[in-house]
Amino acid sequence: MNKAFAFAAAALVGVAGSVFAPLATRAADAPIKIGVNLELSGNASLWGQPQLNSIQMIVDRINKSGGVKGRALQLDVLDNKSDPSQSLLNVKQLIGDDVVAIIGGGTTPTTMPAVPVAESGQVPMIAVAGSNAIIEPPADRKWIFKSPSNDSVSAAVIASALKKLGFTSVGFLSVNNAYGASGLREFGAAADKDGIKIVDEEKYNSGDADMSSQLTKLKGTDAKAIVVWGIPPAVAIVAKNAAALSVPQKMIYSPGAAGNAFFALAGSALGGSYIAASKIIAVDDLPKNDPQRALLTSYIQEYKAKFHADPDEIAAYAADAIRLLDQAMTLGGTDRNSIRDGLEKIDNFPSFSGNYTITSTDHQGLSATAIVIAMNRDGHWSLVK
Amino acid sequence: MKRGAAAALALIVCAVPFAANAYVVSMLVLIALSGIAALGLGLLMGTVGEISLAQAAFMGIGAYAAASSAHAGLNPWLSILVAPVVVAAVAAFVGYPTLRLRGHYLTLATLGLGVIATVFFNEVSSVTGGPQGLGDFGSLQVGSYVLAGDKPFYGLAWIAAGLVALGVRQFRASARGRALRAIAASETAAAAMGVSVRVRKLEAFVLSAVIAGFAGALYAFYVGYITPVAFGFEQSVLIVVMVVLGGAATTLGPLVGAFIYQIGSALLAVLGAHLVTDNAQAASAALQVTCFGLLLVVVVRFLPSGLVGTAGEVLARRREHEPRVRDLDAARVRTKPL
Amino acid sequence: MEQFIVSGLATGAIYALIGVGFVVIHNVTGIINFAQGEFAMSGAFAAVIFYEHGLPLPLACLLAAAVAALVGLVTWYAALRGAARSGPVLQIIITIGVSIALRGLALFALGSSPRALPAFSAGEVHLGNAVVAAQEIWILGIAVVLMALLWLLFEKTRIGAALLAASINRDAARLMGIDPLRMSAIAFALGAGLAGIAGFVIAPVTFATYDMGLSLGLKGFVAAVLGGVVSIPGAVIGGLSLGILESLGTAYVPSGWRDAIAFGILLLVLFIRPQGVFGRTTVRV
Repeated sequence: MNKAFAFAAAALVGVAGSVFAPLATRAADAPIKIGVNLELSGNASLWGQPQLNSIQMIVDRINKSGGVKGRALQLDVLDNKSDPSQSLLNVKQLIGDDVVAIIGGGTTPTTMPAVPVAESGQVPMIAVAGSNAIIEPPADRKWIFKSPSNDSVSAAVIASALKKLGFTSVGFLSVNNAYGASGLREFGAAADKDGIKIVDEEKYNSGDADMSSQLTKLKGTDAKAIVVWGIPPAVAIVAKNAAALSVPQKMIYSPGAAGNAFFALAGSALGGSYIAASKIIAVDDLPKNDPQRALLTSYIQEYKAKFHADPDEIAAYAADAIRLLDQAMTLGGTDRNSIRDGLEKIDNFPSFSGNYTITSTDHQGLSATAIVIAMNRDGHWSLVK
Repeated sequence: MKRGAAAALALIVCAVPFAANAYVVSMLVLIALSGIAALGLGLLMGTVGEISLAQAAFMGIGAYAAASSAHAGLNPWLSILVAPVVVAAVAAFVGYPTLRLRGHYLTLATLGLGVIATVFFNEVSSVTGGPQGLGDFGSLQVGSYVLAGDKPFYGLAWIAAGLVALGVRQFRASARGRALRAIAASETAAAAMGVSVRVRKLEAFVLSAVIAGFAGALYAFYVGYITPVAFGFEQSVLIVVMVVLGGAATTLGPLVGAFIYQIGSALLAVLGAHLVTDNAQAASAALQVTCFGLLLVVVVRFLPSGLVGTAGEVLARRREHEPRVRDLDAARVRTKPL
Repeated sequence: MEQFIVSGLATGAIYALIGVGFVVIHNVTGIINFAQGEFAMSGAFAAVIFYEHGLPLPLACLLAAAVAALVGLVTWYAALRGAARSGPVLQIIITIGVSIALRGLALFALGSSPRALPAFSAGEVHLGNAVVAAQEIWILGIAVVLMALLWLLFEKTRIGAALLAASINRDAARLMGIDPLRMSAIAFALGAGLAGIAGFVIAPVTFATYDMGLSLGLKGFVAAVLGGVVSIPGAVIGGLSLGILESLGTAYVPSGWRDAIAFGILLLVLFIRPQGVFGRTTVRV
């Protein structure tokens, strides 16, 4: 009896599921629907959750001040579980749900499969991931945009900073995933251009507990600095290991490390280290007339009050994405085509991570000035001019 | 499964793409592809009786073999043929020592295989594109017709699934299949009866892996961009879950299991989205993960033979209790318990 | 060189603790516990929560060990006890379901951001040319103490003897008046408690994340297998060796291949000597 009941229940689930799924499509009415496809669970959820928080906060702000052209924004949120196949399904579901634009994915592996779908579905998609491949080649990416600075730009900023500081031979430590691989490639190219020599490359896995071995190897080379390309919490472990080992080389971290988790977890081990990040890292050091200063101050305040944590760079990029959409809709219309065209009209638009200028050949929009170099002293990041 | 039910199922399967939207069709394509891998695993688990945690890794090997050869210029259809060959070679090579192990040891060995495969995908970047993945390897074409997109792939994937299911059924019913079941029951007895245990087990292992590799190759062309993340330990676990949900003892069980899993998680997501306010989506996602884990425990506890297996048992028991109308001995009919 | 070995020993001690818990559970119940890493995660998070609520660190850790043991007990009673006769395949799936559920719960309750736990004592210790974080010394010390306590448990106490009996031969044990189901519950509590301790002992170094159990569990398996899955000292030596080999491997092999080293060793051991490098073919400890 038990088994029959269980069988019937399971069959019901199956049938209900195939009925329910199409019913999830809500009728298109007054609110403007924006799809969100982020990593709310799985191994990239460290980023996904703050990104969603950020987007929701900005949407609330926009709606409170009257919405876009009198219509409220409504988010259609789907979790891609950090899985490429799920991300693909999500984008199809969102397109079927008549969203006017999609924000997501948050990582390269979850974004790339969705690219052709958004292209052929003709839905503007703003990814919150770092790799250049997402928006290149421009001819095949008419509908794809991204809000985070390209890894190539971050790498170039780090390379020129290294050159300025006189660190012409460096070691490179990266995380063994798509983010680290992108960094490795972009930094390799940037280093070449600036005459920086990479004397040793080491990798670690994101779940690793100890990077002492890699650091010991790097310590023994004649590198003057070590570039670290990874995300928290692993980069915090790197920082602590490096401090414990008294690694003489200067540590310089990529933007991916600029999460609050990094600072909280690494603590005093960060003293004397550098980081390349967007301006959110040292807001108080920004000159009074810096276009980002006021925006960031109010953003940080509001985020802190609402979510009881400091927002970081990754969250800020998500906030940028929704603001870009808002601006595009204000400049143009609120349907998919107009939003796409509107995005390309964005010119010198100040947002949290920098001033965006999007053109038909540059669907990212930030220049090198959006990435700054900061140094850690006494638990505080200060801009290095 | 009975012929009538199978025909009805086939009819539904054919009708869907004309009625449903891209999302549903896409989900059904993914169900077919993961179902093919599950069918392969079901073959192994249903006969040899051990869990393999390397099925997604074999999918990955097939996917990368197909994608990288197509990327290098090989005709996409040919690269789909390359995939099973590569997978067969790898599976034979690792299967030979692995299958000497029993029980937990075998499962742990497949775990190790899966992890090493992931390392390969990440490291041998000249072939696989590394952690950033591999894209841009062309599409399947028939003449000038490009076989891309949901509806065409739906046809391709479900025809493939049907063929694989038929093939698995034939195999299980064959002498080789029977030999494997004998091995599962008792290796010593089977050996005593002249079954070459090692060879049969290796065959099943390689066949199961090849089926997964084939699914992987199709997956690569469907999605158009593959990364190591898609073929890891967690995906292997999910394929095992599909087999167990549907039941490894029947041919179609794993395919039904793939269906249940995919629809189940979609349903869970829909419930989660509707029951929770907009600002708690992140919490909802976490709860869905929790629910999935709990449901898994519950379903396995109460349906240990999986859905199809249990359905089969229920039907069999019902048949046992039907009075035999044509029985001339009325006394015998009456004394039969109802 | 010493640096590699010392760092390797510290991570190895963690793998050893988790592996030992795994072996205890497997020996008594016969179950391959895929939730072992999540038991470690429970200990880590419990300690974090207690500490963040104001409890002094030692008390927080003590309670955390109890919480982890409790999680193990609940897992046994709620999920596995009824499936005691369902066969290994279903039992493994159940433990997988438990691990997924525990991860989801942690994600729900604590979010995806890593949490810090203060080190038991700050600073570093210099051992010759090597620099070791004080926490790593704590890890090694606690592991040694726990192993000694375990030895005492098995050799000198009645419960320990009962556990051993149940692990060697369930039916004989039952005939001797030992309830195998009760022993299984104790084994789960013990195995989970050990993993939980490993969790909060490593958390000051690696920080607590909701998915920390994934890689910890896998490495713990490798440690257990190196010991033949049935030997506790084997798992200890297996774990330590794994840590050192991984560490040394980084010195000589491109670091992306490190996991391949660990699992390659796993495969080699399984193929060549399934009773483990350090296990014995007959007697189990």
